[in-house]
Amino acid sequence: MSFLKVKDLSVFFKRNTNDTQKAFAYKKDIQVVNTVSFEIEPSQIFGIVGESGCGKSITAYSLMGILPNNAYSEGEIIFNGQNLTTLSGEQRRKLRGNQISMVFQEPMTSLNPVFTIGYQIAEVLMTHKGFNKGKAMTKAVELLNAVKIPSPELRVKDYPHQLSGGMRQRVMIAMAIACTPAILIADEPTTALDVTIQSQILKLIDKIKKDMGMSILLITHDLGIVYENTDRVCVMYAGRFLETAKTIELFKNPRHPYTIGLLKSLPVNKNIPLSPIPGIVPRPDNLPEGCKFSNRCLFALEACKEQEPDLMPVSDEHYVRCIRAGEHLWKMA
Amino acid sequence: MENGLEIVSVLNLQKYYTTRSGFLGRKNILKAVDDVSFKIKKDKVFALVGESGCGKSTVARTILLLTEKTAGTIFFNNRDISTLKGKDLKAYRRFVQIIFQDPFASLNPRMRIYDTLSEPLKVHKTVPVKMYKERVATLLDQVGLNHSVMNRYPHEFSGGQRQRICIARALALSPGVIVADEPLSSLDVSIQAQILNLLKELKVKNSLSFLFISHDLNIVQYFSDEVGVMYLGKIVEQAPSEELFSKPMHPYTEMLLNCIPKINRLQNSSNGYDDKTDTPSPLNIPKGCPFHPRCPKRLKQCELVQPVLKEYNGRAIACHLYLI
Repeated sequence: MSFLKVKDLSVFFKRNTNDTQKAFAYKKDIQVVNTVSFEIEPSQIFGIVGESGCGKSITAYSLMGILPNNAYSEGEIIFNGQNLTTLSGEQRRKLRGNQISMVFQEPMTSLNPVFTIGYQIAEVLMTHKGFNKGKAMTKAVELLNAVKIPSPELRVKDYPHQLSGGMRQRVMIAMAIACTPAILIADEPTTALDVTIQSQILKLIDKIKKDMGMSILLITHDLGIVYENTDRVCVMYAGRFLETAKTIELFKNPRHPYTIGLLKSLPVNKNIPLSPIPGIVPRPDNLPEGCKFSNRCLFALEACKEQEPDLMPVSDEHYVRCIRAGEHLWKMA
Repeated sequence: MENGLEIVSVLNLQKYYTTRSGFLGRKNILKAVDDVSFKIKKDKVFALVGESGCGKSTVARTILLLTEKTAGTIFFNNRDISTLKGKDLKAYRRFVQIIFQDPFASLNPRMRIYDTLSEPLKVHKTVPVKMYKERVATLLDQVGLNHSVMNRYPHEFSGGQRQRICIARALALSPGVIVADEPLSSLDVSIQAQILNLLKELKVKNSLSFLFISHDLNIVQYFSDEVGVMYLGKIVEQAPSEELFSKPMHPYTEMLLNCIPKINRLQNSSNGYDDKTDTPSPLNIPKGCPFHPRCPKRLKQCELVQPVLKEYNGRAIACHLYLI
């Protein structure tokens, strides 16, 4: 049984059609996520890795139903047999924070500075579970304890500014897991934190997964985090999945030139020179023809510039969007 | 330790800030940098690593004279820089340049790239006016940008390109030392590698020395020759880069190295540290060894006596485990 199934999800941004910009109104909407499909099983951590602007956060927002007003999505998001995209705003709101919840990147800005952290956690329970305030506050202490905040009875009365970045991210996680959701989306949860705190938070997320059997979508740009924490991973570029596989398989046997390029960009040893990917990430309104990576690819052929390849299987559960996927480019790079 | 001509040496540097809790509250002393000494050697990279708030950027700013130090001395070619005045001071400022972390905030949005890059030339009058264009073009060449970009504004560039412009600005006065304060942390992985390669190439070509500040230990390992690990304003371990990374000795260094997510570590193997504590606030540094509340190897005396930085097997280390 799979908890969350995403089928051919696309996200578009509308062009600004103000009077001043009528000249551009004929242009098509900008597509930032292009027909992505994936499934997340219970007690699984599914990773999305990619550079900034590749569409990973927007994918998460569309799962949560919190896309900005000028954006819309197509495709299906099936959760517990229900297609979320057909639900009304009110129905989506009942799921959000209750069945599907999210931890954001910036623990400094995503908490409300004028309420105590205890109240902010309790609010989730009062809204979704109908708890009265007393009961919700008791539960909030338990949750703070579960995310390993020391002396939680005292800390519930603290305001966000009294906590460090790592502690705030723990509070965010406590809020996210308050209603024991089936799905937790973590969008770069540790990017703003120090490595030591990062390792604490990632351990906590792993523990929550094991204890509560949650499905977790972990979005990150750090391949090391992906390697150490995820079960399955997909590599995203220009709104598309370029490669998806079991994590161990992807790192042992990377097939897409972009994945290979990312791995070769990481400094490992002083004596091995870095071979970075040339060029820069293209803007979503100005993508190259054919394969979207062809203009930066070291292995591109003429055919790559003509037609975009499909995501094709190369082995069991390993899919690659590249016409040269079968050639073991990793060994040639 | 390795030989090499030292260009800038820092001796017992201190930077204290006083803060008040409330309007009439008690005065507190924040020891941002406490008794830090190191040397930047010719053509070498000295790296400072540590968690946020440990004082690495404050060290950089005091060296650049952007922040006034509380005590200690900074020597430049064996002269105390606090005694420099006039022409000599200007020469020092020309010789030591900085690359900041955020290329979005460190370029003036209202200045064209040409103006940004020629401003240092105007201030220091190193090049005659009619040569400005040529000089700016050479600078852009060096950082791998096209000459035509000099008429554009910063908003027209991506993060990686902006960081290249910031590097070009730092090179404008042909400096000898570059202080790079987290120059890669706001960039994407593939761009990071491009900029890192560029820095490495420029270092050899222009025979530059670096003070390199980063929290990314993989990058530090790749780029630096010597590393100082800072914790709450103090250097706790200082060693040649290869030695430090192959055999970390201070428990804090060990913890930092263990916390970096690694691609070749066995999956699900715990990194051995079950650290639940936060970094203490620099306003409230623990007594004894400042690291003892988090240290898995602490001894009795760690809670009472603060260890001093001492030579040990060719490196400097401040830990009771190695003070027999």
